[in-house]
Amino acid sequence: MHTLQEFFYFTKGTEYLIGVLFLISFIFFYRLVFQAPGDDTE
Amino acid sequence: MSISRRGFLKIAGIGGAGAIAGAALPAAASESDFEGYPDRYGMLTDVSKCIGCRSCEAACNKQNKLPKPETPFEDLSVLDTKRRTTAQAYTVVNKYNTRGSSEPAFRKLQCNHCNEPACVSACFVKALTKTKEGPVLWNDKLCVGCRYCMIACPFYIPTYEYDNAFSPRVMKCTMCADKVAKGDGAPACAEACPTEAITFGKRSDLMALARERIRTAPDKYIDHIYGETEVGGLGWVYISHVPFDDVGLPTNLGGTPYPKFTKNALAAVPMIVVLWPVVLGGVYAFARRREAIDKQTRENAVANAIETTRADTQAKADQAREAALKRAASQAENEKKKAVKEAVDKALEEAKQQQSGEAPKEGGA
Amino acid sequence: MDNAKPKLFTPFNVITGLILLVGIPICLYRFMGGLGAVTNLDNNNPFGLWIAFDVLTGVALAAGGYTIGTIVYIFGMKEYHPVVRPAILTAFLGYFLVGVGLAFDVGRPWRMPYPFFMSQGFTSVMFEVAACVALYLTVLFLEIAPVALEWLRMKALRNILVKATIGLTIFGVVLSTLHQSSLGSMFLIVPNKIHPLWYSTFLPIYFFVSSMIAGLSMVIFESSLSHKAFKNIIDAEPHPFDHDKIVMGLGKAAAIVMFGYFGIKVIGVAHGNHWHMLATPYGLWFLVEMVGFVLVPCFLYALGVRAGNVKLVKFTSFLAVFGVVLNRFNVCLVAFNWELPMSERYFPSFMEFMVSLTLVTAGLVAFKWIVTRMPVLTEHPEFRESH
Repeated sequence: MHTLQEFFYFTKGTEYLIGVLFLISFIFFYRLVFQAPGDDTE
Repeated sequence: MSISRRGFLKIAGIGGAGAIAGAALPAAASESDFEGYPDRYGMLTDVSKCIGCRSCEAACNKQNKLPKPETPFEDLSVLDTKRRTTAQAYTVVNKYNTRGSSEPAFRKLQCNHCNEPACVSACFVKALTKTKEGPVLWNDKLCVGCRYCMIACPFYIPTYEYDNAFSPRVMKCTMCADKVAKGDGAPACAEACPTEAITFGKRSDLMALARERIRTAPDKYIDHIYGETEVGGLGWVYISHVPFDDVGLPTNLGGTPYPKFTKNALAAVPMIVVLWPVVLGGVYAFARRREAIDKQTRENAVANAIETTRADTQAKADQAREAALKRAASQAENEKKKAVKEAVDKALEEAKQQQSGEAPKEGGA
Repeated sequence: MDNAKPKLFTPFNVITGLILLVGIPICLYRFMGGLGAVTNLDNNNPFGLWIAFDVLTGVALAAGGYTIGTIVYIFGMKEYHPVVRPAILTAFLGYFLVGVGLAFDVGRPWRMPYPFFMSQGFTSVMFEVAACVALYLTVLFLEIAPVALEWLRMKALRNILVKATIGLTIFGVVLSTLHQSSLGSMFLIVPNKIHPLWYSTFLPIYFFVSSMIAGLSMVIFESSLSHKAFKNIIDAEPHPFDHDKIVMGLGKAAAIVMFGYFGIKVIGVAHGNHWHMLATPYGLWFLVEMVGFVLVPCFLYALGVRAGNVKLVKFTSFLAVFGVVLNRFNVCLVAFNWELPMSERYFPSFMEFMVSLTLVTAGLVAFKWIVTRMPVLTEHPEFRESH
């Protein structure tokens, strides 16, 4: 079993993971900012 | 330092972006590790021999003509508080309670004259230099007083004359560079030390001496020479019978020479100077092109609209004319027919009348 | 500005007058008595309020000049043209005050040209900052000069400068990129003195990206204030522009940049593997900065833009600006020397505050003096067609 601390010790893996998570969340954020409600363009 | 005309022209000539591009070159060019000037002088402090008598402080004060302190050097009660170097004291001795020893330990603080000093790399007017002889020296004629050297120093050594309004100086140990250069023996502190805790000499010799001491008394000393590798090597090295951390020598500084921490960032400067105009110029050209295309599209649309309207109008006019002609033609036809019919009718009528008038005549004859 | 005699005792005049009355003697005292007479600086804390606020914050908040310049002249988004001049004027005054602030802070200000003309310390980040700030101040001067030239009706010279706009803008962006990031690089040399949550090899990138946030948010903030304060000037403009639309557009951009900034800050924590430090007092303070003044304004911008709520976007701009100020203070003062006992830490003196306040006030007075006379918020009728 890994503790949380040990998991995060694999720093590089964490960085990749965060990068991917940000990419995905950015798509939603971008839509939040640039797409007005009910707007289906783009 | 006086500035030569040629030197000035050179600087002025580089100008603009070139000056910035040039900024990173010296740092970026020296890729290899600097081993330090050969034959440079250094100092060795043997922490185990220091008794906290403050003789070195007194000698330093006298040698550098610093102001007399409020409490005389004979008063050892000052050792009870933690002190640091000040503009009035290039060196101070502190007392430390340490692990593994009931006796307190003493250590002298002063500039460590690093092989690759953070302060020297941080100075934007080269007022600080690492001399070939070993000492790190400060130049009164160049210093602007930005105090970035004090920020950069990992050992909290350089000090400033904050109370001097017109010519404040950065004050720190010079390893008695003048005294040594004159051939007037060793730095004052080393000469004054009654226990030979401080040794002056070629750094290479001092390293050998330090190793020898550790080798001959392995139970007494920590098996490490502080300053051999720390921050790329110090000019002033230490051996100790207690952990270095306990006598205020940080052991978490690592072996990287401090100038390296800013080297890569500075190396990026010419990259940006070259690449940014290319990128921005590209974006600008792109925006202009799109603008031109938009304009063209708009113009085309307008032209098309005009053309369509004109054609439309033309067509409508043609149609109307044709219709009118047709109508006119059919009307003419009708009128012609009507006229013909009328004429025929009239002729028939006349013929009828004539016939009816003549017939009785013919019939009666 | 009206035909009526201008009133002398307006609230603005009284407050600025009082500040200058107290501040200017302190400024003089700094030069007569030295740094020690007015500041709490000491050998452990050589950088104080004047570096953290006057220089680091001043430069960050003046980033609107290059940000808007890029948007309008390089990206070609002409609808933001009405805010170009106020942004560049703010930047010019900002950088000018940075220079003045530095003159207060360095020990021998009359030697400030030394790094350029006497001895060049190329290995110093400070050299790069000094060179870029000096050059950029010149660029900003050339960019804002047409305003004064239009006012003076010096058409020929003004037209030459206007032709150089693109070149100046690109050079300005290069210089801004360099010194905005270099202010972060300056702290790369103190890995042992700054708390690990704020120290990072990415410091230059953080400083550069957050300067864009500061630039965009400052333009929203500053133009909204000008709109209120100089309503009579703007209303006199025959071709009014839609200020709300500009605010919304800039808010959109700021939201996106802040999202990215938050992302790279999280990656920084991951890169240094400093997760466990988040649960310490410094970690909580780090979270206050990152969540309270980056993530929250980021989403407030997004929601404000989405809901078409101009007021929310304007309020958020204040929050975002404050977040960047907080970041600069954290790096330079709060997280700096974090391992030293409290007795050896620094807190600015009253006189240091007063000098900084005096400089800001002088900047506001200069801004007011210029916009009430020169074509900054409005267009000069004789030069209307030319853009």
